[in-house]
Amino acid sequence: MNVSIRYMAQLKHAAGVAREQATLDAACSPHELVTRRAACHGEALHRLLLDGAGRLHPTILLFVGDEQATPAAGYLLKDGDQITVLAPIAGG
Amino acid sequence: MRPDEPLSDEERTRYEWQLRVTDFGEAGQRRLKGASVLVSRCGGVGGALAYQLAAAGVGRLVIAHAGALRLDDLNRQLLMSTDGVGEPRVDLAARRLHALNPHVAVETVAENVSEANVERLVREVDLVASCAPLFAERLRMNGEAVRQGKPLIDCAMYELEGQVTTVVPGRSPCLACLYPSEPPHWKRAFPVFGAVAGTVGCLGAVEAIKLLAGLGEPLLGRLLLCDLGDMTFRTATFRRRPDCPVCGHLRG
Repeated sequence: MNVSIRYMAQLKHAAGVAREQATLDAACSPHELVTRRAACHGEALHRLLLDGAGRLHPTILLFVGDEQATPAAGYLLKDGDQITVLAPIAGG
Repeated sequence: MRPDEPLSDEERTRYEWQLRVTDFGEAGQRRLKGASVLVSRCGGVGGALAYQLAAAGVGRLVIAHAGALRLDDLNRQLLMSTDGVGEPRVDLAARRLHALNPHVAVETVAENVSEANVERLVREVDLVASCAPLFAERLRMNGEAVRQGKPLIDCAMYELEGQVTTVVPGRSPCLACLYPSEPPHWKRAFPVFGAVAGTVGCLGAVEAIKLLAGLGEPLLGRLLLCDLGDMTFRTATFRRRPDCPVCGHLRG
């Protein structure tokens, strides 16, 4: 199955791309997918997305379509899903 | 709020064009006149928000921002002026707001919102507009607004992107539901065009006017995401965390 990932704000620069496609061999959660993608774009994205234990930092927000996906919800990605990855911003 | 404040003839003329807005009218204008808003920081976002609230006739604005104007503030802080460099930002903001609308009472606090003043500042107003560049300050205002049952509008931006959400304690998630801890990688110096910060501030002002006057549908449990790079606007829904240390105990 194919899904798309959109990186927002600082993550866009750290990833070096605003959007990318991912092909999944087996169903997985958005958090599992984004954790895996963190390893594909170098140190800058890795540092923004993951904590010291290699887990997605709790302040990173994931949305599938227009709904927040939390680890507790246990959502499994489907073909065509659009994931938005949001790093916290506070510019005023 | 003091919704029974009558309007003068001069005020009816000043606000004539917005008195035509459906479901607003004189009753809505009186609600704005009787309302008070704390604006945390009068920079690119907060300054635009405060300017719009003053134009709309919110009766009392409390502007909290420490420090003096620097030259490098002037690409975005439009309540300021070049000859004010070195003067306290809040004084310059108050002068501009008063020049726009002398009916608005502007109280200045030459401090940022801190643990020492947050309880008092939130207690003095009906609504909090959170436009600070630091998460510690945003989360502090969120915590106190929820504790006092006051609505809060959180406005944030980065480069060409903006985010706005509205917290009404007991009816919506709060900022700590989104960010359960202080994000570790946010830096105080961020890329900003005044036009982007001002857009976000204006969006926050619309939310404030809606909440105070009872118009439209505020962004409860919704995060407005604006990417002005490709001009896409969307809202994404989020839910209260049952274990939120700030609002998890509230019903609704």
